[in-house]
Amino acid sequence: MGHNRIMGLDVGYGFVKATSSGRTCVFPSIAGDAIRGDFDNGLVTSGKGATLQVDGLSWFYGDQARKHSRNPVALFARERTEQRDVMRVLFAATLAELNITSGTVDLATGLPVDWFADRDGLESVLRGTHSFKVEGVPCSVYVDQVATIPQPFGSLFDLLLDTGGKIVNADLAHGRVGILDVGSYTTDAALCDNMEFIAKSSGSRTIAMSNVWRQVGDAVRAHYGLDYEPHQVDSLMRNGRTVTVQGTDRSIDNLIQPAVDAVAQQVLAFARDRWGSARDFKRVLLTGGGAYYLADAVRAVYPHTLVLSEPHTGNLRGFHKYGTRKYG
Amino acid sequence: MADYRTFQVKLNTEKDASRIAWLERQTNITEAIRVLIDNATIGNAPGVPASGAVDLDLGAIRCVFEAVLDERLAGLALADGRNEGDGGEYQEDIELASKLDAMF
Repeated sequence: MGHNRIMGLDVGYGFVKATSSGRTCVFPSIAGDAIRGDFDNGLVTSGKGATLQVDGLSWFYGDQARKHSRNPVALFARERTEQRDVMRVLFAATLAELNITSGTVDLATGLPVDWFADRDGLESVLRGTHSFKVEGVPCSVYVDQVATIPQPFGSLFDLLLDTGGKIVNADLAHGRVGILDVGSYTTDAALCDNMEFIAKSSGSRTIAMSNVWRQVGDAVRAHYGLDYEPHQVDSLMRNGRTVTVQGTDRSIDNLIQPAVDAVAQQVLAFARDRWGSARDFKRVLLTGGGAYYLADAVRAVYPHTLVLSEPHTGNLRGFHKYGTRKYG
Repeated sequence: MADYRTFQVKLNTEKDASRIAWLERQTNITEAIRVLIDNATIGNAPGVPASGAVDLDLGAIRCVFEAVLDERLAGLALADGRNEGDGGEYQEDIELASKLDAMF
């Protein structure tokens, strides 16, 4: 104990995120077949880690898989512990991205609140030896210990602990703290009461940013006759908020806000269902990639809301701190 | 045309909660800061020359402005515990630590 590398891992339905030794990677949660002819003949210019060999098969992952695989597979719903092959590929991809090619790793990760009971299955996929090749170079990493926590607690631990895993924000540990985690495909609410996880005031809903992406995509199609996949809408919303229509840039700001407002109301209805007015809470923490868009709406209902810095990686940072505390 | 100076200041969301709350109640932060400075340096400070040639507490001013930027204008980056306490001598609350360690 104490000599292994510590890794934080957040396998979301939208994105895989991982961090270790100061390096962090984020890529779409998609894996797919790497067509041998494509990359062998140079038709696809693969960047570092773009092609993996796992269990004798060649894989692309992330954007490469989305663009070039004939059968890209995304992680959806509760299948992450059932899609062992895809999970192993995505995990090998995080190791490759973090340049972990040998040695032993202890890791901390999370699951949505309602699916926390699946943790044994997830841990069994992650534990043990992971052998793979990156651009033909053999790698072998042994995962020794795995700690799984409800995903929103990652963000609580990010605030509670320092990078060495010590409690430095004890004020936050006393009293009731609600955590609202708005991700790509799920929103989690969790309640921590004096360092106790209160399951009955916690839960998961499949109302999240994907609902915004779909609604904006539908509106863009109706207004401009353009078809975008949800991930493309996500990119549009983060980069410029315009679409090009026959050579002219058109703002889609007016199409985004109604979609954000609609999802915000559903997310808040969920939070109210679990927490009521939350007037006796010390804080409400807002985290996840959706926090960038829903912050104002959540603050209007819960004025004692704190929005995590860089909320899309809030859980991940907390996983790593928790792993450091537990295994470092 | 007048020149303007901007300041970046920083307040702790826990320790300075009451100061942050006060700031958030202000409808015009800049004017509120002007009044605070005037009160501190001219109006209420005994022995301060009327010319206003005083030693300003730039640290305090910086704190107020950083609160404005961090807590009100930027809006999103309110909480960040990444480096707090790193490297320092710090004794954990034993009861709290054992609760955390028994949590999951």
